[in-house]
Amino acid sequence: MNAGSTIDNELVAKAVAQQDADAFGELVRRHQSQVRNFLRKLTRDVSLADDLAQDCFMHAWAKLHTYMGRGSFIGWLLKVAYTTFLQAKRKSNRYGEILQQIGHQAEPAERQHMPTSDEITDLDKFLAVLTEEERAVMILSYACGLSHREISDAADLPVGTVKSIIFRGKEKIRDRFEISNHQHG
Amino acid sequence: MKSVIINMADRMKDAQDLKLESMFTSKAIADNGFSARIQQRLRRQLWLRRLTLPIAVLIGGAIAMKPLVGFITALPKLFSVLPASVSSNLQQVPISIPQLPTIMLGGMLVIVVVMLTRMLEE
Repeated sequence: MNAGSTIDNELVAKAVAQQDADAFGELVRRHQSQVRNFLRKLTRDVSLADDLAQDCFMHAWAKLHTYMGRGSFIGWLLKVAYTTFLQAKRKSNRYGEILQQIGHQAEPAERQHMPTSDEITDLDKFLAVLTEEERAVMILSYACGLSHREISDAADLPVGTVKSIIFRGKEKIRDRFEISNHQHG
Repeated sequence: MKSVIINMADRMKDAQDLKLESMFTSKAIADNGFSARIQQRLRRQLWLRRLTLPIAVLIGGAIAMKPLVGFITALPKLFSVLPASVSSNLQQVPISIPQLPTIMLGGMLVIVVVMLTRMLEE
């Protein structure tokens, strides 16, 4: 266990035992960048991602007692972030369905920031060829640096499935963008 | 000492992995008051949760006070209606306390004060 994890675990213990908002605030300060980066890549919308990040930390506060110290805290936090994202998506899908049922066209997402052609990066192009699940797993692996085991916990998938999703994702990207694949070890 | 099993398959990186890693890497996002906003929301939530019980006790007490006082004051009249044999048995039990409403109100206030003191201590 590294020093960062020890500090995280101490802060979690303090936040849970004393309902200490300052200790939790310190945890937020330490990890907000990674959580917001993860959600920004997943949603490709800065303001939506930041709203989801706030909700994620509020959920994390409510569920903090369930973090047992097994695995890294950031891994657990990213699991909460991914769950928050999926819940929000389900809710917005349901909202769209209801609007359609009552005869309205689903509202164009006003806040959805659609990047202009100048803003589209190579990463956006990569992510666009992936399914949502593949995107989440690839981001957790390559952007957040989680191990296969941590991704399996975060995305609630078996380790084998995580490995095959990463393999499949890489293959899709390779097929589309012709990236070489020499083993480095 | 704890030992950690490292899966070497996780550590093996090919050129595509390295390229992807470099593409996925992004600058750290500055806090810019983000954590302060979360803390503010948390504190508000904590206060609301702490105030809910005393407020519920006060409201419940206020609602229950009038009928309860009415019931207690009606008790002696009830005894007069009861047959003599039953009421003589009941009157042996000392249940008529004239200061009962005051005692109940006092009790409720004590509970609220204790809760508020605990809240302030926290």
